[in-house]
Amino acid sequence: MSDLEKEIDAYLNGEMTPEMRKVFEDKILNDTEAKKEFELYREMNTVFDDTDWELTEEASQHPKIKQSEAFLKSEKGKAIAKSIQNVENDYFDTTSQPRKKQILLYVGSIAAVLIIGLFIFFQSKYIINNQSLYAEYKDWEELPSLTLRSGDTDLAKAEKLFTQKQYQKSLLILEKHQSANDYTINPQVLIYMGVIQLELNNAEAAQKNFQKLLQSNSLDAYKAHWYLALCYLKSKKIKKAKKELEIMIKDTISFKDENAQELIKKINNQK
Amino acid sequence: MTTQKHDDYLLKSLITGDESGIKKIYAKMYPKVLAYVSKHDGVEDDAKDVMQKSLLQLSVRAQAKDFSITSSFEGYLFTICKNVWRREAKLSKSRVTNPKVIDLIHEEREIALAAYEQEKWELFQEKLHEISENCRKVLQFFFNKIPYAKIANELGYATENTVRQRIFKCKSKLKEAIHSDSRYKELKEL
Repeated sequence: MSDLEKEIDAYLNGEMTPEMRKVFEDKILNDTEAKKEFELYREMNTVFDDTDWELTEEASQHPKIKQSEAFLKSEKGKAIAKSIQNVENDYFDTTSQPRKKQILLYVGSIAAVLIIGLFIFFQSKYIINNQSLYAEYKDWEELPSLTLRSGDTDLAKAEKLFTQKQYQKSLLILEKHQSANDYTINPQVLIYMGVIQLELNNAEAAQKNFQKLLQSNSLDAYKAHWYLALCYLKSKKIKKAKKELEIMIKDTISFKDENAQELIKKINNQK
Repeated sequence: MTTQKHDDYLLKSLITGDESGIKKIYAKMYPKVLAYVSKHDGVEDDAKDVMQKSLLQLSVRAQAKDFSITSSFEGYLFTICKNVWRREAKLSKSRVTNPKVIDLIHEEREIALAAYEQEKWELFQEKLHEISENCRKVLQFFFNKIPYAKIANELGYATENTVRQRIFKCKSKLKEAIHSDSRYKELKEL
């Protein structure tokens, strides 16, 4: 690493005194190459921060931006925007039903309310049960992709099967992948396998995978607590579920902290 | 229809503005986008906005002849939606801290900017996946502001100082990889 890179690093990490910052900023101003280098490091800091977004100068005259803008203002661009708007309008029109159907729906809902009321009456102790909490808090659509842009075709296949809820088939491919790559643990694969086993009502096997994830040295190890909590919830081990959630809230990583807090509250309210 | 063919059909309908295809995209994606946006402090109107902007942004970029999607259409579009929502969050944050910024920017420019930023984001992500796995891990921690001590602990480094040195080296490697890619140059030149 060059001296310039060391300076850039210190600057971006906020490790310079105000005087040093001033000297550095002057230096950058007068040196185009250094400025470019600084700019790239600064961009990296924002682009790779998952909670941030790198915005471009609003008045930028970059040809790509100008070209896109011109297209959007053209007849064709406007026609496409109009089509998208039409589709949105249609979508929300059909989700709100026509009148006749609405009346039927209304009558139907009264009946449903009555039935649910009776059900609650008999089940008053378990208004929300653990299964429904599990269903409410699982969110598999949020799982990161197994493949990103380029990658393993087997994993791509497994992921596709997963989204189509063909869990058994997906699991087979993942297990094969895992046994072929015995020494490198892919945390993503572990998460997918665990989730599938959970969906297939095999909470014990799921737990094993999440435990493995927890003990791995991977970037995603801390996520295991959340998934373990879901496992325990599903197999009605409430105390254990709460324990995992509490670990999540106490650690310094903010992964799903809000969900964990909410879920603990709901579990407590059940009793 | 095979999945690939179906994906091609969806992309094509976005390029040409074919409503029946876009309808299919909308029906499939909107509930997911709504779930995501609601989970990240947004409401229904935000979800609609994200959906529209993302579809239009993708349509604009896909007009280029050399444009292609290497993952699934749905996954790709969902990534764009997530990024559009991050962009909105960042914009509203900078409006709060800098009330002088008056929000009068035209929608066309807004989408053109977002398309450009998305292209840069994708290039950076691609480059991050080209460096060694070890480097990638340590940098993902670093860029997401995980403390050095925690990184040392997670990845089994002896001291915080070793972590710092490792981050130094990896950042430099990643910077070099991005810098030497002609696409980066193209994104930077005026």
